[in-house]
Amino acid sequence: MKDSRAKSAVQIVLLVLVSLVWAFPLLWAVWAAIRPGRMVTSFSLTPVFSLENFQSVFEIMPFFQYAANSVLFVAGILTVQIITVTMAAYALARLNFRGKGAVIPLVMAQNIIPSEVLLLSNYLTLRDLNLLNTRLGVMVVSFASAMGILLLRQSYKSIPMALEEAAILDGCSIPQMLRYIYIPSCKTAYLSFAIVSINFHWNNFLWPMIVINSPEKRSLPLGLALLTKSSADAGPQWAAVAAATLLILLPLLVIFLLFQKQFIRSFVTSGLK
Amino acid sequence: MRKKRLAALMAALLAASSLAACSGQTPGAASAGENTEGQEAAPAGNVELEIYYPVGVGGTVSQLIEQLAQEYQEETEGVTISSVFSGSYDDTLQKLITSYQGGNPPQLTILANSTILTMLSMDMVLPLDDLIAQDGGSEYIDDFFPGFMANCVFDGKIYSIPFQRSTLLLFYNKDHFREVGLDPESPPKTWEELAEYGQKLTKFDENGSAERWGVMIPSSGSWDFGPYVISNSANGENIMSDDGKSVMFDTPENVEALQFLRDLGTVYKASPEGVIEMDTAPANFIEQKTSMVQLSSGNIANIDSSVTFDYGIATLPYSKRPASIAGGGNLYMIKGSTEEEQKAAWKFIRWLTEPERQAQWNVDTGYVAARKSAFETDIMEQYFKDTPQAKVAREQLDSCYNELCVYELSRINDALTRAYDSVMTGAAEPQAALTALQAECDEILAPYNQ
Repeated sequence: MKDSRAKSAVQIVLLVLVSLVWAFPLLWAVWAAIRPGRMVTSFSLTPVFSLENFQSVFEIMPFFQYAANSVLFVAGILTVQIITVTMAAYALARLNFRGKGAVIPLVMAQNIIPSEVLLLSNYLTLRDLNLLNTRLGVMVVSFASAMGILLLRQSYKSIPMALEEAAILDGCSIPQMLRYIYIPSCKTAYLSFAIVSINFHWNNFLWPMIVINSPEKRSLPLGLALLTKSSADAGPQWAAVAAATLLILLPLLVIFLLFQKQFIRSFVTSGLK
Repeated sequence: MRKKRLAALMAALLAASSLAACSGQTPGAASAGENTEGQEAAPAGNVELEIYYPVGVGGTVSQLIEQLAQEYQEETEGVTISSVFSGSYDDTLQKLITSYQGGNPPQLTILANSTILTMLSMDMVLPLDDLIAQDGGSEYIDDFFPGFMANCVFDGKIYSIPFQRSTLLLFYNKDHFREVGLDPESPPKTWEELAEYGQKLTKFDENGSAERWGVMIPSSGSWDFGPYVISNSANGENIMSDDGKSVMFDTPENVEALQFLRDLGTVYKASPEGVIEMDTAPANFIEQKTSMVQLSSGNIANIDSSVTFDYGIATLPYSKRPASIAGGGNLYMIKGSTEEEQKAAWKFIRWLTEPERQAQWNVDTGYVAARKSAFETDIMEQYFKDTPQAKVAREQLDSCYNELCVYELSRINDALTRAYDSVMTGAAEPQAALTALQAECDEILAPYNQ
């Protein structure tokens, strides 16, 4: 009895230590953001606080305009992705058609190619479609997702065929089956896909930077770059960077805290991170 | 059955579109300004210019460039300028290469002065000699400081015009100087003095850990190491040859320089041992954790407004000759624009580099005005009255050398940074590290020397 109590105490101490290590960058960002900029590298507990860093973030970039763009990018991409990914996943999981054997490796291969490699070819396509420097141009290249297709296909395959057969007997069409059987039973997969997608596109810097020219179409990571992307010419303003990072991180943090349980479970079930 | 086929088609289409098939277009077939989506329709006869600009000093500088473009547009008939923020220097280069290969480059860009060889090897930068001959001539060009022009000229042709330039300076805390009995008006001139003063200024607590350091020279690779190489080399040689095809690391003088920088920490105990981060160096000075620090002139504005003590600026301490490095960005013109656009772009360059405008730019940003005549303007006179420390930047310009500029720049700089850090952390000795570095760089540059 005593023994197991000691064991669990050790466990708790270890867990707390590990969580502190993991939480440290975030805690540091909070601490640096609420202190005057000149105190950013010193660690003292003197109770001097200031909101000047947040103020300078709002001075340097039109934060809410950039945030609106970021929300639009993330929401637009996810909405279309859900539709395309659902249809493709169903086709690849349940239907038989000629060439199916070739399509699956093709989708997998796409998953392997890093997006940077496609930078130029995507740029050329956008140019031909006259979509450079448009918000649609930022989104359109991500309307399909190989990762999403593979993830959902895997989940769809785990649903018993009997369910689908029963639905067909009852006169269900494919859209109805998706609506009433597949989508509701794969909620976790959708959720984990949504989290990965939101996370990636919320933080994406390179592609919007390449496509967008007009200041009013910039997203938040481009705004953050105004603060951090300084070179040898002058050091970055760390305190303002910390404040901006916190502001940008906030929505993701809220989502994470709200969906924490599903979030962890989805990683466990899908094997994704 | 039909439904099945439809779904199959959808899946195939999706797979294809997510692969983003490569377009067969030849890159570089430039037709600039073709895509003006999102911009207002220009009246007939209007020239539309686009300029990419990176932000080197963070924050509000980006707004200044947009203001300048706006101002020029208002006072000039028939020109529209869209200024496009493009991240750091590296991000800007990437955006530029993508848009150039996509046949949609801007006519103008600001980029690091040392990027010239990368741009030349991609054949994307326009020589400016004809435009200079037509408007400005040698009277204009000779007004720029030679240290700033050094990386603009290659193979006898001028490829860029200095714009947002900076140089390395020594910032020091006059209050600390007084405290330890040093004359606050005579900062260290030589390496020996730097070590000696640094030693005096360093303060340890009773446990033997430093409360404050005498001096910090950041470990940033060629940027911060460069002045020590040039200052100590046998005949004032730089790190690289003029053609950018070879580097000279493995010399007894460089070993000496590197040894000195390490000794500041290990022997004199005037500086922290190990790697010193450039990004936090300004903050360390502002928070009085170091009494002297080597920093870019781009920090003057920030330091001047943040410090709570009396500070001074000095030229860099030297061994055989005074030397500093000229950093920062230049204005480049990109191939692929029409003659009309080139003329308009050149006029804009001339306007941006007018002495008064350069002086104002210097005051607003902390970048150093690149033209000699800028220092004779009333704006500068007033500035020097308000911020007398900044005068030193002008002095330093007389002994400014060009920043490392070689083929395969980022690989060479990475290799140098690794070698430098290994010496600072004590993992390698200066001689061995530089010999290995030389061999590594020779191999990287071998294809250019055949």
